Amino acid sequence: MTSSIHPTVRLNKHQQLKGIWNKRTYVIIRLIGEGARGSIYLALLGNRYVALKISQDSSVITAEVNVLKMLKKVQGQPLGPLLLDVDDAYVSQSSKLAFYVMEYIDGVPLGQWIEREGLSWMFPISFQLLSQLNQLHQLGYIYGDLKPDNILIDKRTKHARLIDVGGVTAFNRSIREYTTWYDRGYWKMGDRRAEPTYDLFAYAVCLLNMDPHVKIQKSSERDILKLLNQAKSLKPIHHVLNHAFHGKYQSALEMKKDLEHINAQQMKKPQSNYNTPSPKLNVWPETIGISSIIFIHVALFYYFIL
Amino acid sequence: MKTGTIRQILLITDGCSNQGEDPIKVSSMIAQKGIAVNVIGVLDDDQTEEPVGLSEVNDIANSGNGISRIVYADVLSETVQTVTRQAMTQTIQGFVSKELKQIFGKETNEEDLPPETRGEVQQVVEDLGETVDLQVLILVDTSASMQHKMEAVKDAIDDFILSLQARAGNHYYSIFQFPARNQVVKELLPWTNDGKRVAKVFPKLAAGGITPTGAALKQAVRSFEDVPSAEEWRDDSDDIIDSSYGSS
Ligand SMILES: Nc1ncnc2c1ncn2[C@@H]1O[C@H](COP(=O)(O)OP(=O)(O)OP(=O)(O)O)[C@@H](O)[C@H]1O
Repeated sequence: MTSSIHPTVRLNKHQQLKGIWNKRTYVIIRLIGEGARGSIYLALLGNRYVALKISQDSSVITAEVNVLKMLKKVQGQPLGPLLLDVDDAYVSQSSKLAFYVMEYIDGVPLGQWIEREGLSWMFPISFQLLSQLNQLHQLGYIYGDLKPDNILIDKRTKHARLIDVGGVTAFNRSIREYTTWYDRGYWKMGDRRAEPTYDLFAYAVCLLNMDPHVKIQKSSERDILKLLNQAKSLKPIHHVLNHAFHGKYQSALEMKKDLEHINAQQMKKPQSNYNTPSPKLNVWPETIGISSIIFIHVALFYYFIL
Repeated sequence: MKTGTIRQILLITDGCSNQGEDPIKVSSMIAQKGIAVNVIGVLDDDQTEEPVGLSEVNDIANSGNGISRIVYADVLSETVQTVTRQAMTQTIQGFVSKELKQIFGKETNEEDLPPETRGEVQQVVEDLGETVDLQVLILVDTSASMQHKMEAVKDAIDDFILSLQARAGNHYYSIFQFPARNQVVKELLPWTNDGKRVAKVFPKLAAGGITPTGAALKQAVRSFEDVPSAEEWRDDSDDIIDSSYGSS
């Protein structure tokens, strides 16, 4: 029996991976991610870029494939990356490993996106994510390991996409995977049983993390409400976060509706102070300059297409 | 081994044993009783990744059909959970491959099945992992060098219990320390599923000099005989689930 296995897998550039069952050949381009459960590579299938996840632990691959298959059944907007292939391949003469192949999402993690593009993006992104979460919850599953690193903003479509389905858990089961700062159990705000409120708590922490005044990772005290008080840039949505931290949103749609309401109110304000840029009237004087008007238009755009 | 219940020992230590029986031998004896021995080696902040003294950690887990990890104290919480879960899956996969052998009439590993069928087997493994009863005996090394890591150990155990409580299956845990005053090993908390009791146990821990890991394992394992009967157990755990719903 293997103890203390390291699940990551080293593959070389240009290495070819030939599926034993389905006979497709993938050419490895480069490593794009490495985690506690395996490695992810950018690869080519013919001339199409794909993401390939491979692990020393075949049960990781099988479990994630099960989830991706389940998500595939959903109509409408995709939940998680699209599953393309599942197979085994010899990575060396003696070692046969399981892998799966999914759509490659050329995106930027949520945290970086907000830093670069501005806090006003939080609205359109939240609307997209909350409706995706809602769809998932309708299926009887929660996402589990919700954190900024698992949310990619597609560079081309500018849409938020959830990756890493390792934490997806059926209702009432114990959460399969979570990350300390986004786990309500850590903050002593609830248990680790899968229910929609668990995801909404984690998403509220993601939002909280967007505020440059908040340093979650540096806080030794386990008091999320205290951290909320430090979130000066997020003043307008404090009550939404507070609600989510206390598990009071029964569904993602309720949280989305409240955010939409605030967004609609915010939208009216900047126009009135466009000619008289008084800091008091600005929504987030410290983080958003005049350029924010552009983003607010984008926000408006997303608001209507959803 | 009784199916339906998974039994594990979780040993948290920071060094190699220096007295008494050979822990590797003891651990393989324990494994024969169907109890897996998992070991977490806790590093000091200034220690580099795999010091020689800690290699025993892997050997004990290996011969105990368990999982081992060597980590710094700050990731102890997640390690306790990963190790427990992996060892549990490993045990269940053992059961399942026996079943497969009966179906296919020959030795069959999950890996030999086509990916499609593997998915179904995996589903069974996961369902069992969530619903089987679990007994974990936590054995904490309290020798002098472990003292400043105790806060992290306590947090990790607290956190572990929180995760156990979220499972659909029943769980029971107990906590032992070694060494203790005038004895090799001491029971700090008898079998329970009450998460609140961890806090009461921890202030009691006192330091000792020697590390009789083998002897401690051997004595502690006897307590598996004292696990409350299944009947009592069910009643208890229902209580716990009910009372924890409203809290926090
Ligand atoms: N489909 C994808 N398209 C593009 N990038 C991806 C895709 N899937 C994963 N990645 C990248 O690879 C990284 C690691 O992926 P993932 O989180 O799934 O791995 P993991 O082994 O589960 O890691 P962790 O331990 O962090 O959960 C991600 O952060 C992301 O940047």
